[in-house]
Amino acid sequence: MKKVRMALLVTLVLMVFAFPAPGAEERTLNLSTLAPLTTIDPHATSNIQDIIFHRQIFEPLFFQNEATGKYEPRVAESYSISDDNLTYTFNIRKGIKFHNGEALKADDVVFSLNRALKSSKVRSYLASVAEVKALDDYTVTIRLGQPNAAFLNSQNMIMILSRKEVEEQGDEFGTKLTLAGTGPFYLTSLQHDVEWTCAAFADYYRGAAAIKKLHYVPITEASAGLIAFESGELDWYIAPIANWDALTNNPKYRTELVTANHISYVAVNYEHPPLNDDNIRLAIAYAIDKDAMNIACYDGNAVNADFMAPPENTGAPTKGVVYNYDPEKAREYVKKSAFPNGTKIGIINCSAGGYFEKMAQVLQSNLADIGLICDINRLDSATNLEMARNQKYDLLCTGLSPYGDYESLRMYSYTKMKGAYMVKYEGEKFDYKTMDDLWDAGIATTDLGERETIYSRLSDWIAGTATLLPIFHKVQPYAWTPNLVVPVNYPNYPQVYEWSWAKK
Amino acid sequence: MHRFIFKRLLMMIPIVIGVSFLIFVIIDMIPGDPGSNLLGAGARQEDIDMLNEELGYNRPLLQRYGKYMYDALFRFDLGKSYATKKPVVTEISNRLPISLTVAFNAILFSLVFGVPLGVLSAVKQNTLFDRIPTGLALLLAAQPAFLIGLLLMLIFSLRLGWFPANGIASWKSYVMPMIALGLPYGGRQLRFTRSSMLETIRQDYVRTAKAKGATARLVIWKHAMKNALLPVITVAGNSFGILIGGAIATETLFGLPGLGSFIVAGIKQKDVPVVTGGIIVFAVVFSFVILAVDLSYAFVDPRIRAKYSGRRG
Repeated sequence: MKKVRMALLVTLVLMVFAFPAPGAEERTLNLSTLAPLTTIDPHATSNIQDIIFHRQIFEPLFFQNEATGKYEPRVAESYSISDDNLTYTFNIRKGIKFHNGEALKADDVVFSLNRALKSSKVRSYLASVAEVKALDDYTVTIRLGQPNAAFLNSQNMIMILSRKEVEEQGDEFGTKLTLAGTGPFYLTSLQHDVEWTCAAFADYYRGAAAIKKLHYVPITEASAGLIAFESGELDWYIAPIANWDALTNNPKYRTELVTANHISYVAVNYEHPPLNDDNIRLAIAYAIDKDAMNIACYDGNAVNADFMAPPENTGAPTKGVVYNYDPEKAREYVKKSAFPNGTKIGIINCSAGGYFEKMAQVLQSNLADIGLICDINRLDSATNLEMARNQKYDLLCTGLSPYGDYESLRMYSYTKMKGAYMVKYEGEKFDYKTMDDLWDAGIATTDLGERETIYSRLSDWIAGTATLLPIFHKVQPYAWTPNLVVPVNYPNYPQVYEWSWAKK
Repeated sequence: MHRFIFKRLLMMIPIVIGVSFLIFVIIDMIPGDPGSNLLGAGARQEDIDMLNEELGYNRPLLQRYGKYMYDALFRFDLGKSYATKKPVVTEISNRLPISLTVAFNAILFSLVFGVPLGVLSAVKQNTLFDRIPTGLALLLAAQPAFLIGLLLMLIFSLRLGWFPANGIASWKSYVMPMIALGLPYGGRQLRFTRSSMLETIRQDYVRTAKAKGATARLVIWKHAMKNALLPVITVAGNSFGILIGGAIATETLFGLPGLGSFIVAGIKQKDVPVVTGGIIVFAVVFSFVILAVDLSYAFVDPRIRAKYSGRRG
């Protein structure tokens, strides 16, 4: 009897140690997005809040690490480029499974890329692609119509989907639960505007994620998000900058400021007099106090910008024409202009409600200091965008997010991309063909040094017009609870796969 | 009574047609197009044009409106959201119960809070029992629900941890929105009840009831109250209707996916099916609420009941 009791006791002890304490590994990570999920079809959105989530469940062929700028293999394990720089051959990783358990093959890659090519939301990333072909089950070639040194960067935005899942769901794909991804997490429930949950994918080819369950809620109001974080409803949060000091000084939280892949800038419409006067535009460029704008918008935590892209972007220039705050020089340019005693220069447009309003207020004050008078027009973001696209503004405070390569800024000035740019360079005022040629030359070569030289010239050309004036790179104020281990906080897109719970 | 209800239901058809046409025209006049809003800054014109074509937005306004109304009236199809591609009917059917729950509870809370204090305030006019509630009513009516909501969150979510700050996970999620919306409306109800009650208790029939020896409680609750309630019901009904689609700030603050925030998001993106569908549903629900308010008069006031009965006879 004693032996039986002892055996039972030993079995019980073994069971206790063999199984983890309930909830230890199964704890759910609570996260938020700044907007409801519009779709889970990664080819049907260009919304950054959607993309942040999609990157946890879908993967591209190659992934560009935002922190290092390096390309890491994902669905493809390697690639080669033909001598004429026109054909990319991707070797698809063997053994990758979709969340539905089926093996990923070249046919799924071809299907995904061709599907993306037909989508108005993402096809611009693949603008140079002429043909996608599967050579066998694990080899795909992509032929470009013209050389594109930024091709790897732009395919980083195209996620590979299961052909079977997408075709089975048809028009409903994106609106309901799907297992079409290969990423480290798969969807387990979905209410686009309320909450959605994920679980770690056990068959993920890089090994299952350390965190097993994710729960997302959309929180659009900053104060509500902060209260949700402080009351323990969220484990990781992009905090409002106004509360940064309070969070940083609170030992209950871990915090980190990370420079975003974003540029806040002032656009000047040179077609509207008196902004057609070169001296007035140069006066504006020297009158802008970037420090004051940084303090007004980000409590001084943003990084003042000399160029239109953060230096981490491939090919981004690090030296060249820069305008720094110099009110005396600005006044000299006003005196040299056709309006030596100052003048009214129109209206500053900005989106209402965000920090661009504060940028506009500082700009208005800076310009008043040198005798240039203007008003501010606060607009809803859709109207502001429409007016900017049609050059219906005098001055514009706005921002943009490049996506890892200087080439992604092309759309903001290249004259052949009608509708995308805020400043229309085509016309008699500037030698815009030189600018267009520089953009074309920048992607025609894969030599990084050569690209940097070309983009430096391009940056100087644009700066010389004093029409796109970089102000600062904003920061992401990340805050999280100490029981969460976050090895790297990325500029725009968190990689939850790398996170884990702290060991007690 | 039935004829009255039937006529009111028939009136909803021109209301729906008028409202939907107005929305189509107004949205069309807003600068921009859904393609450029959905694709954002930096999108190529060819992609914007392609998306607008896919969405059918490039067709003339009247053609779009005609197709929309045909589908809405004969297929009960309010189209698909430009942004989410989900059927608007599904989106609304998910959101309407949430808006109705919040609005109903908020109005109920405002009545429970405002009516008794309003009666007390009128009966004890010019005493502390009057001044304190009317002062409180003024203070509450002047506070935006958003501010009250934030304060509630700080106390009940952050400090006490009683209620969740966000979402619709359980009944607990609805408590703070109900109070945040109900308190300002409660303040208004208190003032309406007080002024209506003051007017009623000065009427001859109330004086007569008192002269006949009826107790003060009987005079107030049986004779005065019923008549004083008519304007209170009107205000409560209108407020309920407005809250169904108008509690946008509160929905945003508490992360409630209701009808109001749905319509506002649609306006921002020029999502015509969302805005039109949302406002049509809002107009229909509002019309039903007003009809219910009108019908409730008959139950409260015998004179109105008699009028309906007379029609029937």
